[in-house]
Amino acid sequence: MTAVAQWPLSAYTIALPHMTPEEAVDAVKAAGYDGIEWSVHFHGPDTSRQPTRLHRNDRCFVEPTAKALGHVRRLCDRVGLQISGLGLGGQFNRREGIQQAFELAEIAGSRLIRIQAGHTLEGQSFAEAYEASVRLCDAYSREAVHHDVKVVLHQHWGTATASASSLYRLLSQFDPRHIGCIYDPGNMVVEGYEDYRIGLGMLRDYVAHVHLKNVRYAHGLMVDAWHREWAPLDDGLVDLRYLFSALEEIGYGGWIVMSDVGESREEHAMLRHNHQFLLHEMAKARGSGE
Amino acid sequence: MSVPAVWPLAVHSAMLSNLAPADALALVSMQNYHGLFWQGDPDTIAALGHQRSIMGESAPVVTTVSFAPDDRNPVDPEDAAAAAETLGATGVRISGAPIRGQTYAEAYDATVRLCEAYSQVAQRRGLRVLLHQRWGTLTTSASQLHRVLSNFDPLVVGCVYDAGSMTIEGYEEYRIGLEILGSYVADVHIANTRHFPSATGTVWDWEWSPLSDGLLDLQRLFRALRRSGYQGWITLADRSPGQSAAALLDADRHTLQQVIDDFEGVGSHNPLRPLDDHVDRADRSDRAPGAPLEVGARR
Repeated sequence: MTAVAQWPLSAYTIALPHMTPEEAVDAVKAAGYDGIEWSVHFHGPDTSRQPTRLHRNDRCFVEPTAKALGHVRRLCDRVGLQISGLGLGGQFNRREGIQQAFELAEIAGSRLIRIQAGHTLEGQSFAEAYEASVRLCDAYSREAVHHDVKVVLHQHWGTATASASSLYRLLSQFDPRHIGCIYDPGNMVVEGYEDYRIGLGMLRDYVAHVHLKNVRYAHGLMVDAWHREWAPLDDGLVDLRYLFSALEEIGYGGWIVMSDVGESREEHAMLRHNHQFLLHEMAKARGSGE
Repeated sequence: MSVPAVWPLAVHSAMLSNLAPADALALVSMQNYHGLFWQGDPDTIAALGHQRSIMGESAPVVTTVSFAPDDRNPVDPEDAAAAAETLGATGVRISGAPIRGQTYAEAYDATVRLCEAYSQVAQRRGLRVLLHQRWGTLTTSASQLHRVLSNFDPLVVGCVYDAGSMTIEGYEEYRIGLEILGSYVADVHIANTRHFPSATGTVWDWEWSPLSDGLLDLQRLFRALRRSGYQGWITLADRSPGQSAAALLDADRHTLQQVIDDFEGVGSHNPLRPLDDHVDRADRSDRAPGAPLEVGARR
């Protein structure tokens, strides 16, 4: 049986730190994905002697310049790969970054740009992080009215929008035509996990994008409390079949973005394996009758 | 001798399920817990009330009444409130609506209606309704609890902030969740789970586990509780199998006392993460001034 994806599949380039953008476009296309999502960051100014690994000396970052985004758009056009979104770096989580964020989206031909809510990890109160995030979303959604680009707030641990409930509290003040969210079941295993039917049933029209990675828990050395660690897409707490049935229940019509940061397989093999695994889980979800 | 607990300690009756009321009350008292979070069958209330009256002053306080099963509300509000009065409890614990089998909107409406029904009865009798943060229900996270509770006066409807349940579902950083819930927090439950690869599929599974072996981070939790100014009950609800109730109550009281005292190097602090309390030792009211900074202290 040849499984057909229920939703278009994309691959996020944070999962491909060893590939150059040129290599990533070819590999993602060859593995069968419909799109690619670019992580848009400056390469760090400190050159570490470490070899490339996750979040260290990433080769696949696209720098936030017109030249770099024009280049990756041409690479994608050449092989027929859509750009599902731009994962914008931290400098865009400020008002000063808004104009450039929309300019880069237009240059890349991306319909989605990702931003993040205020951090709660470093002692900020929820109230401070939340208020700053409301102001940021307000400014972004006012600008989005003038563009054919949707702003998506990333569900992310360590921010004021770790859970779907906290995302809803923030987003419900804005028009879902202009601002929505990235629903991220992997991030919520770190912080913010609620049954998918709670979050999706509440967020509904705000669910504009879905990122998939996985996380598992582990017993550390010399400590009692377990910690969280990234895991391969098929070995952690995320229940993909249940997720897909819950997405179908709300009529989700967006992308599924593979964002595996489990570092378990060579990246070409990981792309192929996860593509097949996602198709398999989608088929099983439909077969389950839920 | 250790420093006295800042917070009064109670025991969830799920830890005493094999004991007759007289034995359960005696054990709680003997193990130096001062409260009992009672959950069970309405038929046993009379016996429990009778036993408390026999014990008199030495009987533990019944903090809250609740009815099994844990994820349902099988007793109507009037009977639940009457049971609380019989036992001298100030709280009536309820469970949010289940999320499976209905839509989010249905579960939310049902939960708000439930709180309304119980709050009318509770207010009349001077009791407080406690909506439980519980996995598998609508209200698994502090943020979702807040969405429901913000419809009510915190003096009438509060919540059980359940640090054990949130190892299964609903975890938000303790400090953030406690800030969001503020004065709605009426009771804090302690339990633990650990996770493991499933024998049958790709999705991991979980089981109840001892306080020292799972996601629960007691030191981080108690620093967040201290910071939030919480002064209510700490209810032990350890469901880990394999030990007698007496052995568990004894070992867990020592663990809780250690984290309450915030002994350096003891408890469950994960050194890979900052403790997140951001209060310098010297500024802490419970520390002698001039105490040396701990190694690696931030700022």
